[in-house]
Parts: sequence; C-alpha cells; structure tokens
Amino acid sequence: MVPPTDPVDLKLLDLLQDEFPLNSSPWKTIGEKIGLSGEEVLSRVRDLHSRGVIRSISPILETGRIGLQASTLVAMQVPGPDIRRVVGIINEYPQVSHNYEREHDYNVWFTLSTRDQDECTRLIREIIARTGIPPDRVLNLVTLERYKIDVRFRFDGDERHG
Amino acid sequence: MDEADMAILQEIEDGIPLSDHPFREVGEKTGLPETEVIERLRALLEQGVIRRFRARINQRKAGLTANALVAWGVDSAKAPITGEMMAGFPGVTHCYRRRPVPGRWDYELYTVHHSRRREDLCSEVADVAAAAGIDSYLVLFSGEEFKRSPTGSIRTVKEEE
Repeated sequence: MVPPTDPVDLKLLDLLQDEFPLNSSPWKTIGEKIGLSGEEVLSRVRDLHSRGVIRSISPILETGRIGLQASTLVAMQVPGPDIRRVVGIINEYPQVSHNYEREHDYNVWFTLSTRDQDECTRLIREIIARTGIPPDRVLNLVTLERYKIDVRFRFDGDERHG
Repeated sequence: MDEADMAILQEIEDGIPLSDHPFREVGEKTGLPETEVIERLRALLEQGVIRRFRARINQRKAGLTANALVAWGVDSAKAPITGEMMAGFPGVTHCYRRRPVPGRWDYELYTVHHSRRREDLCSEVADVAAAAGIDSYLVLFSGEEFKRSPTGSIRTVKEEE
C-alpha cells in the first residue's frame, strides 16, 4: 500500500476533514476551493476511498446526545494464541467502536459506549465470562472527562503531523 | 430528534454515497426531498447532535504508521488542568481523563498521537511530558487494528431499544 503523495490528493484530504458542505453539490463546493471541478473532486474521493485512505464521509455524533451516557476503555492481557478468539468475541458487540492491539502486557485495548454505567459494567462482566480472561487481567478505565477529540490529520506541507 | 432524523443518520452513518448529489440519493432512500435532508442535517449540526461532518481517514493507509496511546501518571488534583494543557498540543488527537484502578494501574490521563515515524512520535510525547512536568508515562504503540467504527452508532441505539 503506497500512501498518497499527489499534492492535490493531500490538499483534498485536508479539506475533506473540515466541515463537509451540506448542500446539493458538495463536491463542486470543495472543488472551488482548490480549482477543481466537482467531477474531478468526486473521482479523486472515489479513488482514495477505494484505496482505503478515506474510510467514509460521515457525521460524527455526540454520543451523549444519542443516549450513550457512559464510556470506557478496557485493557486485557490476552495470551498470544488466544488473541483471535478473544478479539472475535469482543468485536461482536456493536457497543465496541475501537479495538487495537498494543505493545504491552495489556495487549488488547477496546472502547465501549453504552447508555449508562450499569450496562457498561454488565457488558464487561459478560465479555470476561465469555472470553475466560481472569478479571485481574482486565482494566476498566472509565471515562471521567474528555478534554479533546479532534481526529484530524494534516497532510499538506506539514511533515511532522502528517 | 425525530424518526426522520434517525432514518437519515442511520442511512449515512457508514458514509454518504459517493455520487454526484449524495443528499439527493439519501433523500430517495429515506423518502424525503433533498432539501429536507440537507436542512435536517444542518439543524442536527447546529443542535450539537452531529459534532462534526467530515471524512474519516485511515491514517495508516495515509502514511501515518506510528500510532500510540500514552498513559500519564498524574496527581488527581492536577489532572484537569494538565489534561486541558495536553489537549492544546496540535499533535494530540484525543485527550481523556479516566478512572485509575488503584494499586494496579495508576494512570489517569490519556493522549493519542500519530506520526510517520516512531521517533517523531516519541519526541512529541517528550515535549508534552516536559511541558506537563511528568516523568511517569507509558507509550503504548498500536499494532493491529482489530476494529474501528464510528463511536456511537444510531443502529446500535435503535437495536438496544
């Protein structure tokens, strides 16, 4: 997989991470900012999407506003040969949005968003029971405060941050 | 938020169609005129139900292959002010305060960093550590991505009801 290096693609990736135009011809609106036609923008977006660089163009919802009041980060120590099985169980839950392997004794880390704290605790217990990972090898790191969520990667001319 | 809002959000939570007029297509699928789809989305953005509307990038495929969660050991009393300060670093994409597990895991602040190279990421983390005056922290590089979907799916909320 070769990362995009075309300067127009990089500029486009930056623009697409700003607020997406909510109008009838969004590609045209974006194109006007960088001197491209709407057709050209759409064809580049399709290409970046088919290469997996763009996952999707979608609304990021405020979880609290759609009834999800509790969230946590769970870390587990999973023996290497067991990882596929355990991850398979964890990923079944639609409440799990992110799940990553990390380089630590705690090697499986996933996030959980639920309606309330009770549901969160219940799901973690259920996951522990189903995976058979001992509770003393599981950390439940309940979210207390969010200071920042700004997943934005700068690609155009900023070597350090992308 | 009413039924029509829910229908629209559910239709596009995995992404708007990559077609000439994406919102017209969403309208056709939800039985609403294009103008109404657009008006409703603008209202949801204004009300804060939609936090942002934008492209979700797979940073690894875009060349940012060094990604890490950093766990910071910090006094509880200082956590809020330190968290706000860390959030101010442009390279930090997430900054959270989490409840520690006493005796087993004493880290209370968490940041997420992305870079092309591990050494760049580590030097950014060292800058944050110096600014915060913290010497107890763990850099947890991510390996395989097992799952990554938008946080808070309308489909999930509906299914649970």
